Amino acid sequence: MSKHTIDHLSPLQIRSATAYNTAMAGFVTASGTLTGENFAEEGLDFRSVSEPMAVSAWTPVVGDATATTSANSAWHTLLHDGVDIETSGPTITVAAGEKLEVQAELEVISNGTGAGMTADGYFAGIRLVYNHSGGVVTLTDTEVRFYSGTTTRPDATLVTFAVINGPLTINHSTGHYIRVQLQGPAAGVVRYCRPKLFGTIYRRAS
Amino acid sequence: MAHKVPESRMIDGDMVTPTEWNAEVSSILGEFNGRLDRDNLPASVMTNDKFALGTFHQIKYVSSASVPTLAHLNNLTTWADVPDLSTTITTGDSRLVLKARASGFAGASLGVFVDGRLVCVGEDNRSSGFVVGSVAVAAGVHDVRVKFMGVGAWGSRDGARALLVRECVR
Repeated sequence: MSKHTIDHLSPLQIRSATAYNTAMAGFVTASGTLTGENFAEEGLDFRSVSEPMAVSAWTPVVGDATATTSANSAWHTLLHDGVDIETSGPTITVAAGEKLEVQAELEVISNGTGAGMTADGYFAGIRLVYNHSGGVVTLTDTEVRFYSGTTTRPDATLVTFAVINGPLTINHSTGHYIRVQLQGPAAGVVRYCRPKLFGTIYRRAS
Repeated sequence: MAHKVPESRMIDGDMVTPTEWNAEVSSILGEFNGRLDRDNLPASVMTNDKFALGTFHQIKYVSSASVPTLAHLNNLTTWADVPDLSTTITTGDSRLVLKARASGFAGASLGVFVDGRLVCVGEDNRSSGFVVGSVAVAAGVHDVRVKFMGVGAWGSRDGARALLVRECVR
């Protein structure tokens, strides 16, 4: 696409309406339809952009957590100091044409008491649950699990993530959240440490 | 640089000639004809809706919660596709950020391949794996797929898996 070109008038053209209009046509055409070639090489930077194109959606949640497991394969909400591991704070707004990426990580550390052992060995899993403007959604495709396959219980880190298309709103004042749920051994209080929950909004993505 | 308009102004009785007109618009012409830059666009004037979709990020996301059909596929010595975990993406000259996870197997390595080339790998995963990587690509259509290899098999208790490909336009 060629740039819009605007010409000078010659001294004798000022009395020619045609020549004047032709010269002015460049301005008229340029109004609202500038092309890349109207801009200087490397002339632009992001100071002109009102918002970053990728922004952190909320402050990461990090800290020790526990869950009281009651049944094999049942899902429980992780607690950190007695509080659910979930998003909080300002409303998260993801507009149409934007995407929200959520990632949860959980370092699983055995408690060493033998609680929760099963014949299948030790296992744990995490998944993401959303309560947002579209209702409560349990993302079963984010379920990631760890099986030791033996009665030993090595530590492990589980990571899951998901991408959700806008528009959506997570208004914490009305009970919305994005929450990490945990699946633990058969029974007992088992310690699961250092959960992380964080997200990124990608502006104008496709 | 931002356009600057000459400070001369007509007063009553002056004869307007092309010289004055040209002087007035000359600096503006110079800017419009290929020299507009950051100074012509003040801070924060470009709002999100001024950018086309995909201007800065192109994202392909594939996920599945189904149990893979590769149960009992043990002791693989070559890479095999993870079911339902591949995509194609048409890019410019850019960089791809890759992220993949899979669950439901035991003792395998996960790798992400772009156009048949191994870009990133996570080894010795136990039940679930997570890998991230990045690669520069030329303009064109690119095949991205997640594969696994090693001593292990797809289990039957779950099989959640996902692939995220993000093109960072450069």
